[in-house]
Amino acid sequence: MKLLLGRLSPRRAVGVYVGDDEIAVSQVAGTPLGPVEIHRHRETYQPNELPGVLQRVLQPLVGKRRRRRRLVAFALPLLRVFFSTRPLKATNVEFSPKVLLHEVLRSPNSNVEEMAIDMMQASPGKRPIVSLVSCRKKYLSNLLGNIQDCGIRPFRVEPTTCALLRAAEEQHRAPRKAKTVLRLFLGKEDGLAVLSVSGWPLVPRALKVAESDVTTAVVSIVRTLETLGKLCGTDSALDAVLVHGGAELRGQADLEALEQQIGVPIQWHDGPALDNSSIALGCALGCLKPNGQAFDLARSIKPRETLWELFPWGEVALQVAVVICLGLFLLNYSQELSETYAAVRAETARRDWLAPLAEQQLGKEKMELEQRVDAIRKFLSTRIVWTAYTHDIPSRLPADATLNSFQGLCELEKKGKKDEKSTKPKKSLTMRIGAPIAKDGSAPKEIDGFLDSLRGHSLLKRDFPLVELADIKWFQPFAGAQASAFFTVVCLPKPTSSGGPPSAGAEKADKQKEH
Amino acid sequence: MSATETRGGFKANLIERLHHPVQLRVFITATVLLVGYGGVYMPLDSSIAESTRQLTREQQRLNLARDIEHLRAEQKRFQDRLPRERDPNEWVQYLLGGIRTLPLKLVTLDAKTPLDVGPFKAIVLHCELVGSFHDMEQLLRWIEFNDRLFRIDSVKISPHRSNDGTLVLQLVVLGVMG
Repeated sequence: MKLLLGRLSPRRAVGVYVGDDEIAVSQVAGTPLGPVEIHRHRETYQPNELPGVLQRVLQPLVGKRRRRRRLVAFALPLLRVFFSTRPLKATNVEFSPKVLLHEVLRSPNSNVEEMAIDMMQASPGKRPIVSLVSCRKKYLSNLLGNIQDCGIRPFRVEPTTCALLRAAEEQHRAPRKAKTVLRLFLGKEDGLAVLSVSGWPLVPRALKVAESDVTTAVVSIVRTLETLGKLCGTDSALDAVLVHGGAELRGQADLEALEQQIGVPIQWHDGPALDNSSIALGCALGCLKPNGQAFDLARSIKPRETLWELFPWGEVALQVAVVICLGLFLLNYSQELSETYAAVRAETARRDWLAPLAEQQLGKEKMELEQRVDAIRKFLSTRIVWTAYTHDIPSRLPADATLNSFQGLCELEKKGKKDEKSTKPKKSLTMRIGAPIAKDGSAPKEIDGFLDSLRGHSLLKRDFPLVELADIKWFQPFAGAQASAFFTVVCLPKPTSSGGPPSAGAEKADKQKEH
Repeated sequence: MSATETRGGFKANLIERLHHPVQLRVFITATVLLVGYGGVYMPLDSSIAESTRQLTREQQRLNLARDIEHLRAEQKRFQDRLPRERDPNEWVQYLLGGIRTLPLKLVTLDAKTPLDVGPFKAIVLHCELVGSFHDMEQLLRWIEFNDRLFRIDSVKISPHRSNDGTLVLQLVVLGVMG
């Protein structure tokens, strides 16, 4: 899966180890699952064949000329590079790499002017340190010339130590909380030990490994580097030893005894071994994870990248696309607004009467019309159509009963001046009904049914929902005559409602007139 | 001399800074933002603001026109039912004319102070009539379903004191004079 992603990934880098008689190339691709090596190649060459070999090996990886901005990093052989680390003293805060190199070499025969130097300051531990790498300027210039003849601008030229350490850390991280770590890279006959603090290479040391005496060699190099590490500014003891490669020697080494002798845990991994391909892989990995704190011997020699080469075309294209999208969105919105405006304008233009009138005049006319319409609407809607009652209520009376009087009141609300309270209009319906009293003197029962029918009356429910029997009066015109009872029924609107909804009768009368 | 040097120094300094990837990206992003704001956003935004302002004003005008049209239609429904002149005497005569069509005896008819009904005036007429229940109901129906805008504020139907079967109708009638 990772390999498939790697083959599809456009983010690729090439690492090249240029040995004295062999060239090793590794191509890695960045994927969401991490970097993956997709190609590796080794080829021996004669010293005068280097340009041709470089051209032949790198051409398929970097592509045509226009695409040669692909990241290509180079590693130099161990013996070609001088590597030194020293603790930084308070007195030499400002110094040049040349001065420092001259101080480190302490040799009157060495001319620092002929050396390509790169220097890094760091504080991997508690103390600040300065690391120096250097190689012959002539050798490096020749190599860079060959590289540039291939149309390649090297991303970085670094020592083998750094490339190998990077490849090892990528494949096998140091144990947690292990700060000072010794990594021992084993080859066929020789090895390379690197003491690192928080991933920073402090002291590299080459060694010869004999098959018969692996344990002694490991113990010896550990002791040596522990001592050198303290001189170079390490302030903590060794936390772990990681051995990479040398699978054929693993069986001969007694790891438990070794751990007891050196007093730190040891891990033995199959890779990366001390071989040219692993170095090339480490170089390529360094291109995918750009780090400002990395050595580059070609820093002062290689031509500076032009702005054209540095220009982030992809990001600019994305930003321009966003701006264009924003512009299109705004343009579309503007057009929609214009279309809506045109539609509204066309609708107003259809009203001829509207053209000569200003907003103020229109507002005034609207207010006047509202006053007139509201006044008439209220006048008609709050009235009661009494004929609906005068026609209906007598028909509901019991057979012997008579409607003696009918009084309806529904005043129009009279609004006072602004500082006065508006008087609440009176609204009621009062009826007096007469009914004969039976011989036994009991009040007529039919009147109860009449009251019930009034309470269920649809119009009364709307206009006067409160139907109450106010009083009963006994009346006999003369002795021996038929006695009658007079009932007063008062119908009132709901006490809470001020104006109340328009009466059904009023609506009906209004509609009849309109139609 | 110093100006040329400063210009040259500024240009060199700028190019030097642009060689730093982060600063180059900041510069490019700022330039794109500036171009986007000045070249795209500002002209379109001012155009949108102007269009929005015009649209809002035109929509308000259209809404006002629609409201007026609706109110005019409402007014038209009752406009024919309002007399052209505010003449209380004409209203009294109109009511008398209606009463005369029925066999009712007019006892009293008083015109009170007109009431304000919004921008209109409403005549207030108190009248007392004697007659049968049927005729009284006819009169009430004539008033309530009249071409003119009437409203009965108070109605009282009671037996006449002569107790001969005739009834007395007391009315308070309001009519919108216009």
